[in-house]
Amino acid sequence: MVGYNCGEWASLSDSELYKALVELDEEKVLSLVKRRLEKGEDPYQILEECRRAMTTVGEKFEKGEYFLNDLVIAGEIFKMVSELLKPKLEEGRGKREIGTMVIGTVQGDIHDLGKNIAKILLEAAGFRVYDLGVDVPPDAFVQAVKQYNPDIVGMSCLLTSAWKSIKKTVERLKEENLRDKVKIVLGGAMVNERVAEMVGADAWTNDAKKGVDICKKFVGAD
Amino acid sequence: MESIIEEAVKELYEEREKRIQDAINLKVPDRVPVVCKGINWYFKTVPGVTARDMVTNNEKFMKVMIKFMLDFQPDAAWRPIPQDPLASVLVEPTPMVFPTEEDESWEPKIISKETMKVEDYNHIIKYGYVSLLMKYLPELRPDIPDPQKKLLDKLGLSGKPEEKPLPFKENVELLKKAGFPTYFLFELLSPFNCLTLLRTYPKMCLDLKRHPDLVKQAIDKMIPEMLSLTIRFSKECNVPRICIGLHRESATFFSPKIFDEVFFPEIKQIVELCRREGVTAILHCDGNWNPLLERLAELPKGTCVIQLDMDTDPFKAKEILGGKQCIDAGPMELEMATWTPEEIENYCKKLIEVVGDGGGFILKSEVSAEAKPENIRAFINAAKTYGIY
Repeated sequence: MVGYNCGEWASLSDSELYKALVELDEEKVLSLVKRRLEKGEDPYQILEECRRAMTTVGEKFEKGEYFLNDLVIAGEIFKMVSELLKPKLEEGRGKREIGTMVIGTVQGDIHDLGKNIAKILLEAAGFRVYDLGVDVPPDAFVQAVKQYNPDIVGMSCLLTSAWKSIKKTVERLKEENLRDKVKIVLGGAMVNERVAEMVGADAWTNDAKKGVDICKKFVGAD
Repeated sequence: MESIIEEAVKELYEEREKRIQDAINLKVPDRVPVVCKGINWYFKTVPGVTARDMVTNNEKFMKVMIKFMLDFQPDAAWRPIPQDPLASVLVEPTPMVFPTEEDESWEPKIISKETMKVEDYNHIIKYGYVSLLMKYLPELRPDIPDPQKKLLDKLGLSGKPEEKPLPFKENVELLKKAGFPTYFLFELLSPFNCLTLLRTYPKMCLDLKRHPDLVKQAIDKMIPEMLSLTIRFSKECNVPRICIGLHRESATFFSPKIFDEVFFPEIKQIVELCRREGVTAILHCDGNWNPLLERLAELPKGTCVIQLDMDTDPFKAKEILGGKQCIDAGPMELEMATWTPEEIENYCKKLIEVVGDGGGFILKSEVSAEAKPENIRAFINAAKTYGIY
């Protein structure tokens, strides 16, 4: 993991770009990014300012100052900024990460909203997130754990009929001797303590904000 | 002798219908009415019925429905019509995955896909929602050839039908013959929810920020268009209630400011239109409505049913809505699948005592395929044991 020096980019949270993104001013954010790229500015500084802004948006959401729609708008603007920056970024450079996660909606379930919200908040909190999408088979989780060596596996589930997929995924991780290397967190409307116990997960949440706290605790970043 | 059975069944039907209507009209019924959305696992108890049959074969669907009603004896049937792969587009205008013959349970799943474009708001405002739906029908139901013609056939609206219309009235009559009223026949998503499905939630968040007036105008256009057909069908079938799904309007998804500006006017229009037409809107309030209960209390007294989902506190709802609107609440999928029968019974008893105090309460449950049958019995028995006024 590449380190990040806080003093490297001073006053990030005072920048016009930071403020525009926190205020969800899509037009201003995009025009500022374009202008600064044209001037030849370091794309990593631009990215970091936006990441800081996303963290602030996440905090405002946690405090109840912002609502889910605000969080999603910030995520959409951030996605547009990432698209503008993509050609100028080198993979992996300039990231400051507190942990790695593999997430997905389990096989038999195709809900993606909760998972996507969790992803926005987890990335804003500093996790590198590998999103496997929806209807993810147990073996795809196993494969991703082997490939990305995550700290945490997050499984989303909004159907009771998908419990058996979670159980199967946990069993497959055990068979591959990977279960003890990761923490497993369940998320979604159809999980509770009894479900977590039944399938052999380490934690559960039906609240994305609380989910981030659980994950931060697991990587010692709380 | 047969007439004795007929008479007894008729009496039971009338008792049950009155029980429900009394609760809706905020009167004290003879006991708390109990309803259950619960046949998506029950088909396994009927030989020769598959998960696929439950969405495509009305006869088998009704066989399962009638057996479920006779076995568990709730007070009314919950949407006694199969979730037809084509006609369901009117309820959920998004691509869906339907069960196959091999599936163990039937839970049609919706696929999140941006079908509608921003410019289509103007299409709705100019030509109406049905016109837009017809335009995108081949995309929404790609597996069905000539879906526009077939949809009109299924609804009994085409001149020369090649497909059998859906037997709305027949199913309601069949249940009546077995002694059961229909709680509601149509479960319609609100116009805003339909738009959100067609656009996707992230795009709708942006639309409401960039073009709120377009969204509002489209909703205003859609309300009478969508409701008139549903109300007409409901009235033809003598079911004086329709269910309107309010999902994305909840505090889970949007700010109270947007609720006040966009959603509350929508809800008020829906309730008023239904009231004018003599049907009750059962507002299925999915998600968290705790911060919005005060707003719902502003709706004209006794004009709708507030049907709560798992994230809204029914006891808080009683404090705020008691005596103003009928509340429909109870244990949901997760509780019915993971609790013990004793826990279900105790929770229902508390609901009956507190939320049911003074009437205006319907005990309900929505169960999934993982629900324990003993929990469904405990739930229904709770109404009959503790719910007598």
